[in-house]
Amino acid sequence: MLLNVLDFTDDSGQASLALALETARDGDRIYLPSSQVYVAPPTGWLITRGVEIFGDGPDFNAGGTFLKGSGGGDGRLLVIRPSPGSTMGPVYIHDLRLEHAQHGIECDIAEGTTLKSLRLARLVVWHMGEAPGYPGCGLLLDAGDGTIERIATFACLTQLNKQYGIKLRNVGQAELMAGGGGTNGVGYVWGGGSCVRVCVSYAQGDAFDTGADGQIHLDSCGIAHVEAFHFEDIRAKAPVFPWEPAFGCRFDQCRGAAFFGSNYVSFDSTDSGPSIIGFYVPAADGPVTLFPNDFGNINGEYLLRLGGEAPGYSILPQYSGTVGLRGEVAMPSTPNYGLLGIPSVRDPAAEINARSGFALPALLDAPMNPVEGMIYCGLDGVLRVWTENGWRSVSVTPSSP
Amino acid sequence: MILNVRDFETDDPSFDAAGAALAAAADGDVVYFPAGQYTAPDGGWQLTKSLQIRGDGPGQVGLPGGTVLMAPTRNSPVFVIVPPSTNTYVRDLQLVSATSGSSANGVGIRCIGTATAGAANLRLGGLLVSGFDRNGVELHGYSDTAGLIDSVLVLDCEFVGCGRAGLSLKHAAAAHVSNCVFRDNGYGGLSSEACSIAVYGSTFDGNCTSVSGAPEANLTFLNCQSAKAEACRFLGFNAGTIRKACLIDGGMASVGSCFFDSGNAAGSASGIVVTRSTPGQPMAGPVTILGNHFANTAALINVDSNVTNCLILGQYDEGAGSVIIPQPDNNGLVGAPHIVRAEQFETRMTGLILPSGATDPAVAYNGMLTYNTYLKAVRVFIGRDPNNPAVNPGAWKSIKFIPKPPPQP
Repeated sequence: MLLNVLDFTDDSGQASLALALETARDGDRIYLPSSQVYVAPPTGWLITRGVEIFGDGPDFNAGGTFLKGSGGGDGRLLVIRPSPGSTMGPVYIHDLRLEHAQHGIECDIAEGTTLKSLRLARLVVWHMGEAPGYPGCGLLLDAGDGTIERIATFACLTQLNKQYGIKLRNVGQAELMAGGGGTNGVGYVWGGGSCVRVCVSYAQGDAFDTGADGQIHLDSCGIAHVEAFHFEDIRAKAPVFPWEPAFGCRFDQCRGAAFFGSNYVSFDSTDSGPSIIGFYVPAADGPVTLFPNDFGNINGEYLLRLGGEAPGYSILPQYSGTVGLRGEVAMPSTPNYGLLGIPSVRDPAAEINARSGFALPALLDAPMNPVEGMIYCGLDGVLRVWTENGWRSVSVTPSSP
Repeated sequence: MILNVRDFETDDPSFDAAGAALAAAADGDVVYFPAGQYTAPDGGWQLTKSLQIRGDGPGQVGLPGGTVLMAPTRNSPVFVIVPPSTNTYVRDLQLVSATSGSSANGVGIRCIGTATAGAANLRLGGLLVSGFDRNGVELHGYSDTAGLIDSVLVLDCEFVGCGRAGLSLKHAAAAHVSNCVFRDNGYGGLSSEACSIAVYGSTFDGNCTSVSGAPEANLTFLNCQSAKAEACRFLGFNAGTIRKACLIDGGMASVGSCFFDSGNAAGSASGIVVTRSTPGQPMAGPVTILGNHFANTAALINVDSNVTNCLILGQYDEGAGSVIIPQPDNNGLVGAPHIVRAEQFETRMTGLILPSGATDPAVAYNGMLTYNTYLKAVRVFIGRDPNNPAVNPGAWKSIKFIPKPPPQP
């Protein structure tokens, strides 16, 4: 059933989304016309059923629908809170602008409770968490002690939020598509303990404030997949954390289903140097697959920095769009713990010879499961091939005098 | 124009108001089913125009709320999309099977192409499809060249507890499936044959439960012209007898950034199976298997000898699963599977597997490497003068090994 929020008024005669939400049943659609600004109660609007909430679009100047937190931005806005022990959903929220609260949308899910599906589309979420003592995120999607089965965001812009644009924790499956982040204080996306795919989106100038993280940081994710993403203006860390590198994208403890490729990484024109990294994997992670990426506005940054003891990188050639100002690629040296590929950087002006050969796995020990025709480099620098049920060392021509 | 099905109701409770709304609608109209339960006529509602069919959300199986459309019998579809068809959009509904009737041919949505007509631009969104004896949604083109199902978009849908596949696609071109869930379906979650298809960010959980034995896997690509599975989760695939998460049987495919957990550490489940099961069908390959994460999976990747040109890059395994590839002639397989086991990183890593065969490759370039199984040698092609290949065409040379030490007297 379609519920128009203007049909639900409180004692003061104001349109009340709270009353509409109390009335709605699972499957109902709640429409917020753009005729006024909707101000949330301090405790926020509670979404306790699988409903669709939508307005006339996120652009206030063009007839959009505008939801705002109470007071000085320390209140709550949209809170998804299924009844404890229940399974709820889907929830679909779209075509709204959310502003000035602690978080734009947050989940409050009790133990034994499941949110089946959350879809967010065409939202603008900004200026969250700005009230002193109430730092917050644009979208705080945390399963807590319960379960969030899946989240999909499409064309959502999170901007100028104090902490992250989007923070995900323990989400079964999250797909973030065609969205954007801009100058969020701590970062654009943080994903922990989730399966996350981020694609065809952009971030610009995020992660500049106290406690800055990076534009995308995926930690302990079963799936970490970043593809066709535009990183713009990767900024240096705030002075309180000068020892930590700044980065566009970082994977921690994301293993196997970890992919970074077909992205454009543009470094900021003022912040530069080796403490800034395009894609960063600390030590002891992997395997990670890196497909070609395009790097621009380089001035001494690390394009890629791959932890030295992380096993099993697979890497294909990268592209540098900045003539003459070289960026570095930090790769594991011998042993490379199974790295495979062509870690070259193509320079369009060919001023710098950043081509590479084909890197073979260089291992501490011989592989345990050899097959005919397998080749690797041992810690002793000897190339070996498995043939006739044994490892044979390859002979090389002596060096010229 | 929006036509509300309720506006077509009469005093006769047996009157098919939705059928009347569909008959009154014109191309481009929306036929709206407000929240509630509706039963289709025998044979299902026939969609013969370019319409959007929408409800008030799918709700949940067996619970009040949302729009629920029910088949009249276990043998009937809910909707039939009648070719030729374009721009059909079905969204925000629950489609559920009837419990009465003995036959078992029911589906939620069926579209069967003919020799002269197919369907194009079909979208399904926000559907919950459950309990049908046959497939949940069945979109079958007539052939690769006639009666195609062309351009299919399936978003945010859930397919649960159907007798065969949750979603069955055949001769479907440009099919895009994203953010869907396939759970507890008898034959498999998603079955695709002779399609070009991409599946993103979807969950396959506990399919292939048919007691008579499921012929398919949780996700099946059969003889697909191009197929891709990316950032998907495969869970509970140790159920039933098939115990396969993803099956590539003929055709070309790519699987990457996926998470596999069969749910049973002591089971015999397979993660990715690449084969050509029927003689005469297209060869399987090239097949690309990029990084994936496995847990509780006995055979992570199993590539049989009918597969050509397979690329396998770094995988991760929490357990002690195996990778099975053809040996000694691997039909052009290349890669370094890097099966990394938690807490024992380097011990299970692999070297680079070179493409191998009993003869040197017919096409050669300077610097190309291969492994010749007849000569038991790594071969490198060198010496071609690119400016004068007729004079210096180059040749395959064996890389020398250090001689083995003589046997002890």
